[in-house]
Amino acid sequence: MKFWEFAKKIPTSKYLALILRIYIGWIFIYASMYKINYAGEFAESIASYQLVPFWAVNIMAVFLPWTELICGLLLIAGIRSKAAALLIASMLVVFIIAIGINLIRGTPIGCGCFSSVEEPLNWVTLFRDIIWLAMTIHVYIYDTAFHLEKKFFMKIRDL
Amino acid sequence: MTDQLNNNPQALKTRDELDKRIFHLQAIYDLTAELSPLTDTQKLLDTFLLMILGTFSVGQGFVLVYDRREKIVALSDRGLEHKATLSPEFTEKLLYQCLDVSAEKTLAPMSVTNLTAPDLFKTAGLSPATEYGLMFVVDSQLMGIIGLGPRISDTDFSKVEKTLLVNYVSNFMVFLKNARSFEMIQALNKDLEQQNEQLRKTIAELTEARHKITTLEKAKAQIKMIVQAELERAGRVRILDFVLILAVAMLVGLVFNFFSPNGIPLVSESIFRPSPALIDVAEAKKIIDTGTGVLVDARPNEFYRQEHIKGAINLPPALFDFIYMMKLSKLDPKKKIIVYGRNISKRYDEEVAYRLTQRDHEDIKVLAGGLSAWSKEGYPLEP
Repeated sequence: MKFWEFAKKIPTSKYLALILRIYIGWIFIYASMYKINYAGEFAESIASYQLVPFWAVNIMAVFLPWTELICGLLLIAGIRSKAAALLIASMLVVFIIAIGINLIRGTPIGCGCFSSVEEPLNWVTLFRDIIWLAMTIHVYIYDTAFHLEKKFFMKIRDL
Repeated sequence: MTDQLNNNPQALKTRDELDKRIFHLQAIYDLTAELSPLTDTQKLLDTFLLMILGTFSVGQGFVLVYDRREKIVALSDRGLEHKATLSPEFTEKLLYQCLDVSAEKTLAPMSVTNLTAPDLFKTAGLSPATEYGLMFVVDSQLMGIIGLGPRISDTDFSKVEKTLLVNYVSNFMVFLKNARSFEMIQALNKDLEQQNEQLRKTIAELTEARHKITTLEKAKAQIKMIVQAELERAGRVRILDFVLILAVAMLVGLVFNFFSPNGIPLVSESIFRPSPALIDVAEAKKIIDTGTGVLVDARPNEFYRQEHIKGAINLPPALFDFIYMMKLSKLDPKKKIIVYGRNISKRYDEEVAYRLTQRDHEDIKVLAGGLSAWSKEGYPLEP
């Protein structure tokens, strides 16, 4: 009985949200590393999706990995983590749409998610990104534990 | 009748006596009339002294009253050559000495008694010569002494005069008591007024303090509200957060890209190059069919393998040098080359055309409309 009650609480637990938060944050930090260092290769990946106008490809290749990195760091640290989670969720939505379009098109490209040398895009990639999106939404809704910024704000609240 | 009276010495004496009584009654009446409006102890003493000096034709004298509770000495004097300043302690001692030499040695309220040794005052510095002394006790806390000098007529006080004097003093004591009571009431009133004033001030201060507290409490509530609203706001997601994150990412990205050895131009260089000459599909078909030109597919290999124009050579920009060396290095630079392959994100054809010009090829054309225009015409594709 007690175990059942405990199990019922898990899906909405803030500690589950914390674990997911760190996991998603880490994935985005990890994903950004290669792209930041090899912007040229990432630009090729973006171009291969054939969705971004050619004049915006390089700008996006420079800009997107840093957005991933900063959002990942903020999410793990718990600083403006809701905003970071929202940004990550929107990036994931964009990725999912882009992957979906190209899967339907049947374009023979790699995901470009982590590095340029990867297995080609497939439905597993899409499914994985949808799972990540669900995790991020969970984080957005239930995450309240261990926020760095709250350590500061709590003191003001105490006053 | 009058003569009869005049001739009868007994009658004369009685008349004289009656005259004196009338005079005494008149005097007591006068004294009462004089003293009754007075409420101040000192004025009462002054008036009373003047009255007895006048009534009994005495040149000098004094009246001293001592309030034991308040330790106040009041003195009225006339004709004294010098007088000592009388401290309460000294006065108290003097009064005890007087009690000791008084005729009745009593402290009964409203009593008057003669003093048997009035030269006692001289030692107290009150008079050069005192003929007659009286001590009076209003109550255990209020008592006094009266000293009178020699009479102008140089006669002693008669018995009747002494009785009158005692009556005078008794009368005076009533007024003195009243005056003291009045003074006490006044003092109490004054005290009460002061207390009232203080109370009023305290109430005013309290009211002010209450106002201040109300204001402070209002301010506190307001500050609390602002802080809470601020915290609430800080807890929510703000547009500013996105702007900040994106701005920082943009800035850091630009700076990093600028200094990175793997940095890329923000806008593809091909935009700034002159656009290469185009060739329409029909003409291109003719050239390919006659074998006067080479067709190059500039897209990455995966796309090429998916579908390409029949007979096209795959030459993606990423592997340009390698494949060029393998397949095109022996080609005559004068031979026509037709390049195709572009999408919304990448103009592979322009890139490859540019690189071919760098390799001294003279006749390079880009296929207008690319692969889609070709397939629309129904021209052959592979695989």
